[in-house]
Amino acid sequence: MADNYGIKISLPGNNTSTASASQLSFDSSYDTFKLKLSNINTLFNVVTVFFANEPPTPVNPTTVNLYKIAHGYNYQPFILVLGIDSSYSGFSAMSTSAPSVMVNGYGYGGSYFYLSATENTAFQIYADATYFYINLFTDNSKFLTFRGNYYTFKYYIFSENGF
Amino acid sequence: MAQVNSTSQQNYGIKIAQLGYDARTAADQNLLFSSSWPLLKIAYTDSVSVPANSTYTYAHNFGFPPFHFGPTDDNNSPLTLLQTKVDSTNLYIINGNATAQTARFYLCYNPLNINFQALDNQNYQLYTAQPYDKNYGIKIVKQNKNINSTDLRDFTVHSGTRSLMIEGIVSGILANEPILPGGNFNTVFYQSKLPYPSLYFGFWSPDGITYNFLSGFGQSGPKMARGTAYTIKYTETMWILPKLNTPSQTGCIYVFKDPFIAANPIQVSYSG
Repeated sequence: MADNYGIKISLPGNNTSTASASQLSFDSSYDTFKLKLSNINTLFNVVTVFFANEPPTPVNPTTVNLYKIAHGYNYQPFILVLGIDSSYSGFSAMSTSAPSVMVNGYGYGGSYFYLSATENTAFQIYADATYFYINLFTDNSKFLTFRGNYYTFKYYIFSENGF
Repeated sequence: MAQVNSTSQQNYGIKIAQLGYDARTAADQNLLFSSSWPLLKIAYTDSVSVPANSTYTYAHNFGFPPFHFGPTDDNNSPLTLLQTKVDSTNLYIINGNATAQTARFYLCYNPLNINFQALDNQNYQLYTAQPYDKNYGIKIVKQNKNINSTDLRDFTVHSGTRSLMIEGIVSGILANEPILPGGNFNTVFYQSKLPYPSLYFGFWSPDGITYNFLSGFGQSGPKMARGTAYTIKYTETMWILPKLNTPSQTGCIYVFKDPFIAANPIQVSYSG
């Protein structure tokens, strides 16, 4: 994009004509990640999953859908997901000290939030061209014990391309 | 590390208020945009196929290690699955798989080695769907795109949207000593004053030159961690824990003012 097009805003004390990358608050030469406000409750939210019962005994591999919502775009959007640790609004969640961020479906160990590497049990969170999904996944012969547990995720679905 | 201050920012720059609010008096959560909080500046993005056991390289030539998004794995084994890293010249996506992998990356014109702190405030940011008036706010369309487009990808900024706003950047040397929960966290450390679990990203460098994006969940370091004793209000601590027995390590934490607190959080009960 051309350098002489659009607007620049520098941080205090810096000349927009000469400011370095860190001294510019905004520069329209560059794109930004955008959350669409008119659909914000779909595109940004906090989902807490409570397991009232255990998932079925898995047949390797098994995916159990926990949450699914149509995002309104006709392409795979860029997503960020934060696995929230400790407590959020009174809920306990993933782990006490090691939460994860997931970018475009990639998190710890690949495309998953792993709960147990030894048990190969994970949350698989991603978007296709229509829906955003939170799934439980295992390629082991059993799931961990889930009944009574809460898991909380904060997610963002941006208008930028995911894949 | 260099430091960019923004202590006098309230009366400087531009603000765009939500429909129905006066930009001169609106609280931060009612602003669509405020130059007090820098945005991530997307310089380049692409979706690439990386052959098996190969490294994809993109030359950005920024002259500093930039913020980036890309596929990431536990940094204990950088050649396992997919790992993204940068230095001052290039971005790399390493594919340790036996098959080709396709991944999208985003490269931002935001340095990892310069600190920043926005003016803190402790406003909650409850958020609900906003009415959109096409005759209100600002839009900046990309070159060769139509200002009347309904595809948000055609705009660099659009007041019908919100972007991630940078609250703080902290980078520095990581201590090379045993780190355990409850032990001596002599590492890169950030204490947020935001009143909610904020979005953050961590980067780890073994040498101060090449930075790895951290998933936040490495088993034995390096990894991101949040304070185990943080409370929902006002104080949250974040660390990057070093990888043991690796000298000259550097870490960087980016913390974002967004997200907002979701106005209508969703509760799902799985009953089988």
